[in-house]
Amino acid sequence: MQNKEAIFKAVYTQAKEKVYRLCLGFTGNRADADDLLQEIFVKVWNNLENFRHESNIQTWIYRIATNTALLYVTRRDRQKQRVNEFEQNASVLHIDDNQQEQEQQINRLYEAINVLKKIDRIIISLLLDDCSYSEIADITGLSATNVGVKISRIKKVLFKKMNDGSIN
Amino acid sequence: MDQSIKSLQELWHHKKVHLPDADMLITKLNQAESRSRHERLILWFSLPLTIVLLMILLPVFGSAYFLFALLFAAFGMLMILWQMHKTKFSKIENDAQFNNSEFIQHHISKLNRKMLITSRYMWIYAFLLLAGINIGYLEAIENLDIEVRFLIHLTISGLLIFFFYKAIQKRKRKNSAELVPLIDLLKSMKNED
Repeated sequence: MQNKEAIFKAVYTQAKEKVYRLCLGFTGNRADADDLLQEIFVKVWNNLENFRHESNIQTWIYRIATNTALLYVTRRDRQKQRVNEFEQNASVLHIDDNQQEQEQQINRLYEAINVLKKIDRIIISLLLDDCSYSEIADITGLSATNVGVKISRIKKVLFKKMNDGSIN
Repeated sequence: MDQSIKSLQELWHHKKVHLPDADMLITKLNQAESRSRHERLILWFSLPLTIVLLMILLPVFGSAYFLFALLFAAFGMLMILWQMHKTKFSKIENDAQFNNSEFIQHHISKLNRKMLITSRYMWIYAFLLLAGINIGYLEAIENLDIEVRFLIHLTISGLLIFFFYKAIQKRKRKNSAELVPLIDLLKSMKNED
């Protein structure tokens, strides 16, 4: 148990920020990102004994994180269908006039990512976190060529949304 | 890597986050793990508890009928408990063994399996329980007139079928509202590629 805790602590310290950024990009709001982060690390904890050290720990964590995120957002979308749309949109990251310019740009980026298709959100989040095409392919199950094609398409959509302010 | 993505990467990495420390999280995780262990124990403890209860109520070793009744009911319960265990505690599975595409497919199968508990296993359980109870009653009411015995068997069977029918219909409505849309969303996500 002590060993498990020590390994978990190391993994958490190393990965928490990367995983949280992925959560923010994927959910588009802090409340969901916090819940999702917790859900992901519960799974990391439960699966820690299954981790085979010959594979890359980063890929291992990203697989857990992205799979959990897919399921989390699917459940949330399902609830969204039931609950008033207006209430749900209220929780999306808002740009406060008093925030610094850079903070506003970051929020705009998260909002732009949040309107992409779910798999595309994962791809761009992984790319922004410096993952290679082959790592992204390994995590998503797409071919590296397909990842490349998707990335060029995602970039166009992302920049268009960030520049013309057509988010939401 | 082109310049435009580099500028987005700088933005992405610039985000400062404040997250709970590892020790606090580990304490919570240990508590959750212990709760989950207890839930599983309670789920599986219900089977021997029912068997012991039935053994007290029915003289199973003195009668082949009662013994069969108990075996049928226990087998049916075991089947349901196993299905529940598979769906309720499957979070312990290694999610990292699947890439996203495989995971979506795996999860669709898991939800479909959950629906099968209602549409198939509950009816099998109902049949086994029905058979068990009727076998048990064969001996319990053997001294009564044939017409009365027939009526008792018919009444018990009718009530049990009605009870299961109602319970299964209720569960089916819940599945239609919760699981079916979730499966549809996952399927549409799979088709996004």
